Amino acid sequence: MPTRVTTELQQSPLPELVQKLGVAISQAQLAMDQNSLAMAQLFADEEHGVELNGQGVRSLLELGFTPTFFQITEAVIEARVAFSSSETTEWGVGGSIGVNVGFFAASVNAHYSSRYSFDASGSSSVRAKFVAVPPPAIFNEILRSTLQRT
Amino acid sequence: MPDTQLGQALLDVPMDQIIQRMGVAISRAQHALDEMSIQSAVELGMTTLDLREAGGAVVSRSLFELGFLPTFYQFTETTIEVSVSLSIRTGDDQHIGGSVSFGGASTVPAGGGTGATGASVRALTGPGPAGQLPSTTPGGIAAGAGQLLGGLPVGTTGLMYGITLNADYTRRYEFDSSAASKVTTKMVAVPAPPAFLQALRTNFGIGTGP
Repeated sequence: MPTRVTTELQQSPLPELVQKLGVAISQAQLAMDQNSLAMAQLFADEEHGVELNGQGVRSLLELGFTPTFFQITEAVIEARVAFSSSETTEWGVGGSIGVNVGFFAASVNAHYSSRYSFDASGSSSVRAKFVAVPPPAIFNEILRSTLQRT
Repeated sequence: MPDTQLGQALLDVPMDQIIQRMGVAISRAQHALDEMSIQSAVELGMTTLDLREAGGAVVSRSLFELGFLPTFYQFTETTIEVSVSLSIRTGDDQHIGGSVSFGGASTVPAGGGTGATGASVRALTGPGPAGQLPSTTPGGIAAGAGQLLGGLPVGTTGLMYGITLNADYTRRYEFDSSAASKVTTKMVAVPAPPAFLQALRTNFGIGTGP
């Protein structure tokens, strides 16, 4: 019969935890990309540009500002669960008989004790490496072509 | 037998199911990651930036066209550690004991009888009727009897003894078990598949490549 510890181990949500953490990493990457794209659009928007004397309004992108793109190059996911249980049962009987002059005594005692304890603990950790990557070469090339206006 | 229980308990550890669930979870997670990356690629293709060319004309280029590539992740390495520790302990305690005790006691002599003293009573007759001669009766002598009051005989000894037997039996059973599972997995960013990139370029009308 499987013990409770092994049953809990089998039903522990460790795989789901790893799955969710992995997807979370990917979602974080997507969110960072979206943020960088929003920044790029902001940089390209002339409404947020800078007006220079005699040169009209120039967007930040034209002026050489580039959004920072981050990439999670490596992530290590670690999840851990631990269970422990302790069960102790003790029972006993005892008795004594005494005979003395004129009287007789007998006593019987019995005891039963049962103790059960169960501990569960879990931990998880994620170690991710964020690296700022340079904008793609084509992006830079087009930027340079815009800079030629100057 | 504890040995049998221990061996059976170890055999009951569902190691295969744990590994199977983990493998399936990794596979599902990989699938979800790929879907996220594909979604990211489509967004890169749909998002456009308005840029001015050298001639001043505004051109709209998608980010994918500008060279931004989606990030693909891959679970390169997964380590599963499962440890199970079981301990069964049984014990019997039996205890039988007894004691015999003896004791003695002697009585203290009684405090001495008091000798009863004899009492003599002399009765005198009063004047009798006339014509009677006074006569005297012989003085009655009461018999004095010396009586020794009762008491225990001096020097008597009593013996007391007792026997006690006791027995105990205790049975103890302990079962300790602990199990731990640890998963370590490593995700690494990998370049997008070339065929996928080519299909994207075709889809967004970019051509054969940047």
